[in-house]
Amino acid sequence: MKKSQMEIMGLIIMIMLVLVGILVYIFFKLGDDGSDRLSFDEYKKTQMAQNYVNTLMDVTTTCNSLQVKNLMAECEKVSKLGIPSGLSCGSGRSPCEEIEFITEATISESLRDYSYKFVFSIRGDSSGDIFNLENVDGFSCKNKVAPGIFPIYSSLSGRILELRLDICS
Amino acid sequence: MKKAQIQMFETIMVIVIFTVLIGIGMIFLVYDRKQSATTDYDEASKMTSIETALVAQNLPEIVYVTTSKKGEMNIDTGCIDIEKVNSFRTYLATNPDDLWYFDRLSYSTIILKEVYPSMREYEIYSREPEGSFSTHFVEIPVSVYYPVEENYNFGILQVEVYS
Repeated sequence: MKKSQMEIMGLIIMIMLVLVGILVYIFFKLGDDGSDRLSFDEYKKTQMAQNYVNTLMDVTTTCNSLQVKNLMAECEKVSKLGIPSGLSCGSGRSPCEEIEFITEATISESLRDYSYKFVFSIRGDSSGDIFNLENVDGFSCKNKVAPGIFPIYSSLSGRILELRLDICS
Repeated sequence: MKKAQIQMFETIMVIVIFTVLIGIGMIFLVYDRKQSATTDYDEASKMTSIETALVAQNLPEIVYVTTSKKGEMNIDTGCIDIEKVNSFRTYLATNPDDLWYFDRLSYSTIILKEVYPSMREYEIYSREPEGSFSTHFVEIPVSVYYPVEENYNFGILQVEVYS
């Protein structure tokens, strides 16, 4: 082999070594991007969604000191089945209005206060939403964290009512 | 220029070029390591704040505990007993140097903010480090149980962790 050929071989080997080094670096860098892990922000929102619905269900209302989870069936009775409620709630509110009032009050001090975008709903299995609260700009809520869900069996209608909170990620 | 001088010059140039290339690579690696270290530190701080929030939420000194007829204790982790909170605050106020809680809650501020039916705030624990520090917030909705009235109010446990 001539001297010039050997020099070119040396150059090619060096270029190949540099390229292999760059490729190994990129391989390890991309392999550990942490995309499968929950980010801090997502974790906080997931905790917020799940704890919010659980906490809301336990709140004692002004309707005979019933908890929200017990008032849900009463709300469905009035709004969906059309049966008048015998309950007396504070400030003359109906059971549904009481739930809505408590939800608004708690959401404004938590989700809205932290500028979270969310969709909150209470719905029956086939009868559609009992009520909805939304704080999203149009269709910007495409990605959501794991929702907070609280299912309640209504002994009055025999249906499952579902309280659900989705927070946009 | 003689042939030997040309070869010498060629060798020197090759060494210079490779030194420059290795130098650029080293600068790039050091910069990347520095960035990674900053990210790792930030991740660790966030993990610490999550841990502290979970410890605060499950602290036996404030969490609501029910006892079954068989005498079994059930801890309701999403519920804070207001009477226990008041007792705990009194204890910490009279024992500010208790390091048992510092080991668990570190440099942080834990506030129980009641938002329904009334707006009240209870500072449960507070210890700030000296000098400059960064903070991470974790907010967890919790039930606030009033044992005398047997009422559950809506509250938020605000945990601010300093690092």
